[in-house]
Amino acid sequence: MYSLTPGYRIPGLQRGLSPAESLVTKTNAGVGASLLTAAAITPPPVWTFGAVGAAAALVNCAPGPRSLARWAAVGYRRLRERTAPSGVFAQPGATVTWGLYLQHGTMQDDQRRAQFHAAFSRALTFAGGQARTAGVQVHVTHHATTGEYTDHTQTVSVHVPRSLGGGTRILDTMEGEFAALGALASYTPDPIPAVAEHGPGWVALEDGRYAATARITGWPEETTGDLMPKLLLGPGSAERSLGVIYRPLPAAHSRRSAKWQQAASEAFTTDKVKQASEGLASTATQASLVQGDALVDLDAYLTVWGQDPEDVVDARWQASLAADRHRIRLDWLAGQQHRAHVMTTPHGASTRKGTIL
Amino acid sequence: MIRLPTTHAAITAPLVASDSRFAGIPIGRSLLDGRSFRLSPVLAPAAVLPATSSLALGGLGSGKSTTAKTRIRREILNHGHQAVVIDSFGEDSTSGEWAPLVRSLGGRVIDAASFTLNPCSDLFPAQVREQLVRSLIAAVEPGALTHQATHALQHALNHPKASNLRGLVDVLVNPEAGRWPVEKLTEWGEGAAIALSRYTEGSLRGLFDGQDAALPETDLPIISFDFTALDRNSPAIPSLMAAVACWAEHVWQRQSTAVHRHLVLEEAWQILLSPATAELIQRLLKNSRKAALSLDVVMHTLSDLGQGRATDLARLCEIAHIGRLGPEEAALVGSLLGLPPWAIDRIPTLGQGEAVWKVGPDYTDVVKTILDEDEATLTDTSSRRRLAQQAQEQAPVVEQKEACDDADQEGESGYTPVVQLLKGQEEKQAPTEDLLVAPTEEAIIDWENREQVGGWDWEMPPNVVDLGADTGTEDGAGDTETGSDVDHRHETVLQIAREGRIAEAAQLAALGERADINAHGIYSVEASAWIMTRARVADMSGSTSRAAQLRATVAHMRRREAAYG
Repeated sequence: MYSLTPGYRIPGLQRGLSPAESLVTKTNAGVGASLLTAAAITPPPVWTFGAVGAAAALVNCAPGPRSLARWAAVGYRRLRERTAPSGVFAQPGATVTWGLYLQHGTMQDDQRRAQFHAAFSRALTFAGGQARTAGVQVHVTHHATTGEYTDHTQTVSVHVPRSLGGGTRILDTMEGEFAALGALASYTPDPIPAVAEHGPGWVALEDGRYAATARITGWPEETTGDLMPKLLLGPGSAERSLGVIYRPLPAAHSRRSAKWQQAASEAFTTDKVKQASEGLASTATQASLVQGDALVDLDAYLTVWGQDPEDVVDARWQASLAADRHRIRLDWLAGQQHRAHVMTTPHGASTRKGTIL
Repeated sequence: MIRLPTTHAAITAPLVASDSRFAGIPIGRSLLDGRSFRLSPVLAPAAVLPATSSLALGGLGSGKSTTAKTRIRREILNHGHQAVVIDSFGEDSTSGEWAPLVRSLGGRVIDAASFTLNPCSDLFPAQVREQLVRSLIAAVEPGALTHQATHALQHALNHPKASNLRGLVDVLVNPEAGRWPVEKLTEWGEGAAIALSRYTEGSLRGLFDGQDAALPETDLPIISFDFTALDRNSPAIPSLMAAVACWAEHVWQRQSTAVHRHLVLEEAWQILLSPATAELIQRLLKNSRKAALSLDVVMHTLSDLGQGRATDLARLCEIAHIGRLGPEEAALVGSLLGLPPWAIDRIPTLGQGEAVWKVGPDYTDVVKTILDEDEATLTDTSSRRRLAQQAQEQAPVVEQKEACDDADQEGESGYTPVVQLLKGQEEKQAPTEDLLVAPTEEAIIDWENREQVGGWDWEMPPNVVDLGADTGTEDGAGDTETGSDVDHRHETVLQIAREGRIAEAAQLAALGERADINAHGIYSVEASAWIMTRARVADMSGSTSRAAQLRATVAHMRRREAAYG
């Protein structure tokens, strides 16, 4: 029995700060500190406090839907996010994509499926252990073309950021690791199709297809391991893609993370039941770490495709229902559809952790 | 983002499908992953499929024949193969099941009831003649062909008088001296002469003692030998089969120019049960790839054949498709063919036209055969059922129960497209099924009814389980199934155990026990009865300690009952 009880959700902290952001943060801290120090030495005139308070109120309290600040912010975001800048999906580093298919019947046979999952888990651990710091990314996609028959396209991509160095060695090593899982063949992904049109909750692509993408934010608490075959091989009318990006941590990093996670759970959870369940989760985590596994950060996306807007809206509805049946929570990415669908193609392999979608 | 141990995260990997596929004709759609399933065994590399013969199993109406017919049709149309069909099951007695398909492909249907052949005709090469006569003898008297008898036969066949079967018998009885003296030849030929006299004077007269020597053409795309007019137990079947198999082996195989050939045995169990024909079939199976011949065997289940032969057949057929079967038969077939457990579990729940396919040692798939309109018409075997449904539509409500039972017994052979055409009729059939189920349910749920039948005179609150009243009601409704059913199940289990199938009996007992524990509770009399049955099964299997342990459990249960109950 696998438990997908959330080990460690860090939505706000998942993204490290960009160099510009950290510069701004440091400047802010420096300026603020010097002002406070100055104020401690020579108190300013009393009206200064009033002026600062008024300015803060203006910025923070009820700017209103038509305020200048909000208009400017939204306008900037629309401008900024109109396109998918190549930098988002082409981080510096080495990326390779393969097509990977299992031996027939693996998913149906409980024993063979468990063996496959164990092997895949070892491959992820191995990928994480290839460098001293985290950074290796493994991206797996599945695309099902439905019709009278269903065709499945499955890819595995590995991305090694330039900062880790030695990308070729890691990629070749990983190729051997994945070749043991099934039939591995080299695969050249199609270029990213450009977005032609935006709509409420969907985008139209140049090739005439319509896409709507959701982030998978909740997984079932417990499953026997047949979650994916049930979700992806079950009857479904719409064309759909699913992409999962794994960012395995090195062993030492995993242990540190588990330690802090446990400490935080013990210190800050007041709900006794929640504390107990988190305790169980951290016990399971610890057991896995003792067995030699690592921790992995996981992001998953689901895209449904259609031939026209109604089609894609309907497919989105059907996907929501299917997700409910499988106890999966979807968060439809309303604002950023123009690039979210890329995450379910092999091009998503080299995205930076915390990329805004 | 979510941070998990890799062991837990691995199940989210969307790697679920395989890309292994076979070349050949389209068969249908895989129910495992929705991919199209194609297969022409002869196009598969020999390393993957050493043999090209196939075995089709399935209950009545599971679609096994339809799939077999469709495969043959597509092989003939797409790849120019040839087929010979031995059709021993026709739904209506006028013609065989394969007749419409054979006619549509420009083939020929040969009616076995009006079939005559002179096996000694000069038109046959000497070797074929001898083979034919030998197989005829083997069909009626398998023990008659000793070395000496074979020599006597060979000697007699060279005699000019042996131009038909009657003449041959005469020559066997009154031989001319050859290398051996007349007395010896007479003595050796006796057995063969007696065997052949069944064809000239005995019950099989008229089949092989004429002058007719016309053999079927060997260049037709498909030939069907229609055995349906014959009685199922007719003694002529083994002989006719022997003649057909001999023709197929010595004439058809040698003369036909097709790239690949199929010999289809429909309802093959009666052919395979006869020792003479079984041997021939086995020989054909073993040489199939060399002879560019596939044997396609279609039958209900392997248990018809008995243990040894079924195992042999299963071993020789590399391709098997298994339609819906009962759970016990599914388990048996699964263990014989080496199917994985998940596939065995699916066999009892398969729908029409769906089958578990096993191709070679590793590949197992669940496939729904997809038919086009022509195929649906040509392979439709549900005419009787349709008639039953139409009759039911016209008839008043009176005999609905019989009609429904009849339809069930006939099997739901209506294939998907046909069923869709007949949707209106299906819907009309539904209320009758409800009628069948209704009495018991009403008896249990309906409080008014309960009061009338017996038990409590006042309404019980819904949370009180009134077991006594339940049984009373069921008896009152005329449904005495429960009482007799229990005994029957125990008897069945013990019977199976007596036959030596201990594991199966134990499983059945466990199932019964579980059902009764669910129905009556863990310390009920029914549950302890099952434990006693299990003890008896354990006794039969020789594990006395297990039996003693089970009996002790029952004793303990009774003590407990005495103490608390």
